[in-house]
Amino acid sequence: MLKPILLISITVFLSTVNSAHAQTPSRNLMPDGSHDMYIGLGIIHRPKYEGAQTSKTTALPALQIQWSNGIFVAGMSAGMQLSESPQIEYGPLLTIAPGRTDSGIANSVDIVNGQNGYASINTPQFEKRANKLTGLDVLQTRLLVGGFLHKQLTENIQNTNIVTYGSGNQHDGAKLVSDLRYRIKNFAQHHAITLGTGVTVVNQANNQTYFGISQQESDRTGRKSYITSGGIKDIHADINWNWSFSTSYLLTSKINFTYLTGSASKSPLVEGRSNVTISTALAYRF
Amino acid sequence: MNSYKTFLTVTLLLSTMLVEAQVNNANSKNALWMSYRDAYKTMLWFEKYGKPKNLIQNHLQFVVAENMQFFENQEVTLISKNTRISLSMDEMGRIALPLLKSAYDENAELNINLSMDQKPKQVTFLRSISIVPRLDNTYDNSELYLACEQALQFQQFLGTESFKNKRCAGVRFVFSSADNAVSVKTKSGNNEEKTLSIALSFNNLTGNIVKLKAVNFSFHQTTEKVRIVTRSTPIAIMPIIE
Repeated sequence: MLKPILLISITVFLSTVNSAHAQTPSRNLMPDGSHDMYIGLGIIHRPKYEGAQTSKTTALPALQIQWSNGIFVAGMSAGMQLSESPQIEYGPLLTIAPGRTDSGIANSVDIVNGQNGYASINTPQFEKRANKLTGLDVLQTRLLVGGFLHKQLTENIQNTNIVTYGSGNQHDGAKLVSDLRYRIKNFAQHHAITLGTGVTVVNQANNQTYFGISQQESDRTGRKSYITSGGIKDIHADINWNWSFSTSYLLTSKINFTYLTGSASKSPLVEGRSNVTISTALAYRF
Repeated sequence: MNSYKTFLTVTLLLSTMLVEAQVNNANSKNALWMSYRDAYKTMLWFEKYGKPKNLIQNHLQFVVAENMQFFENQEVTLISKNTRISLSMDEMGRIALPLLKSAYDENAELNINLSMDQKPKQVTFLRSISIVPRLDNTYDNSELYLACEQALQFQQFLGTESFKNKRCAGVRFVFSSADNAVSVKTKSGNNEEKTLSIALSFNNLTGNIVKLKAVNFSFHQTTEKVRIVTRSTPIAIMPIIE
C-alpha cells in the first residue's frame, strides 16, 4: 500500500531527471546563518526524450535553497560555492540523473534563479505504446558527481561550465556543458532577462547510454546496433525571464532550443534533431 | 490527464490573480519597491573585502536607469514584518544601507515613496565608493591619495571594466547647491595659501551633468606636503580616477 504512494510522491517531488544539465544558482551573498529560498510550481512542455518528436506537458516543481556557507540545492543538483572572488564561481556539484524507460524520461525539479537545464517528461505507468525506446535497456537513476566553474567575462557576460560524471548503467558517462550567458541590463523594472548559448560535449559512454543500441539490445529487439562516439552532442540556446511581482513572488519562465549534433544526431532513436522546451513557474521566495 | 491539466491551469491562474492583487495594492500608493536582499548583495562585497579600506566608505546609490542620473531627494523606507526604518537619502541619491540579518531573513523591501506626479521609467541601484570625510574638515594630500588608491584597488578587485589600467588623479569635494559657505583652501609647506575654484556643476562617470557645487583637487599639482581645509562638510569626497 505504501509503496505506490511513496513512488508517486517521489516521482512528483524529486523524481529522477534524465539527460539534464546540472544546475547552479547565481551566487548569493548574505548574513552568516541566513538562507535564501525559493519554492514554486509550474508547467513544462518538452520532448519525451532527447531527439523525440512527441512532447508532453506536465507539472514542474521548482526548488532552490542557498545557505550563507556556500552550500546550495538547485533543482536536481546540490553543491557548494567556494570562491572568494567576485569574478569567478566554482565548486563541487552532485546531480541526480533520472532513469529512462521505454516511455521516456522521468519528471524533474527545476531551479529558479540561475544557470539551468532540465530533462524530459514521463508517466511510466500510462504510456506503454511501442516507440523507438521499446525493448531497450532500462536506464537506472544515477547520482552524478562533478563541478562547476563560471567566469565573469564582462559586466553582463558570463561563461558557465558544468561538468558531470557517472551517468549510464555503467556509471561512466561524462558531460560538459559550456555556455555564454548575457544578462540584459535594466530591461524593465522588476524584469530580468538572460540569453544563453552553448555546447554540450560528452564522452562515448554518455552518448552510447542515451543514443546507442548495444549488441545485446540489438540481439533482443532485432534492431540494428548503433555504436556511438563521443564529441559535441548538441548546441543550444535559451532565454530566461524572471518577473518579480514583489519581494516574495516571481514568475520564472524559460524557453530552450536544442539541436543535436555528431554521433547523437545520427542515432536511430532520434526522430528529430531539434527540440524545444518551454516552462513557466510561479515561485515564492522566503 | 485532461482534469490534471485543468487543475494546474486553474491553480496558476488563481495564484497569478492573488499576486496581482498584492501588486495593485502597492501601486495605488505610488511607491517603488526593491528587494532588500538584492541591495544587500550589492553592498556585501565591500564588507567581505579584506584589503585596507579604512579611508573609504560604501553607499547604495539610486539612479534612473534610462540616463543613469541620480534619483535623489526621495523617501526611502526599509520595510519587513517586524521592521520599519526610514533611511535618509543625500543629494547624490545615496543611502547608507544598514546590513541587518533580521531584515534579510524577513525578505524585506526597500520602498521609495513617489509623489503622485512622479513616474520615472525605471530605477536601479549601484554601489558608490567615496572617501570618508574628516570631522575637522582638514586633509593631507598624501592621505587623500592613499584613500583614492584604496578605492581604485577595491574597484579593480571587483573587476569593474571602467577601472582597469587607471590611476588616481585627484579628488572632488561635492557640496550641496544650497551651501553658500563653500570654501576650499590649500596650505603648502612654505605657508602659501590658495583658494580652489568652485564649479557649480560637474560631469559624473556616465557623462551626466550634476548640479551640485564641486571643488577639484589634483594630485599632480605638487609633490610636497599640502594641507586642504574645507569650511563646510562636503556631501561626498569622490575619487577621480583616470
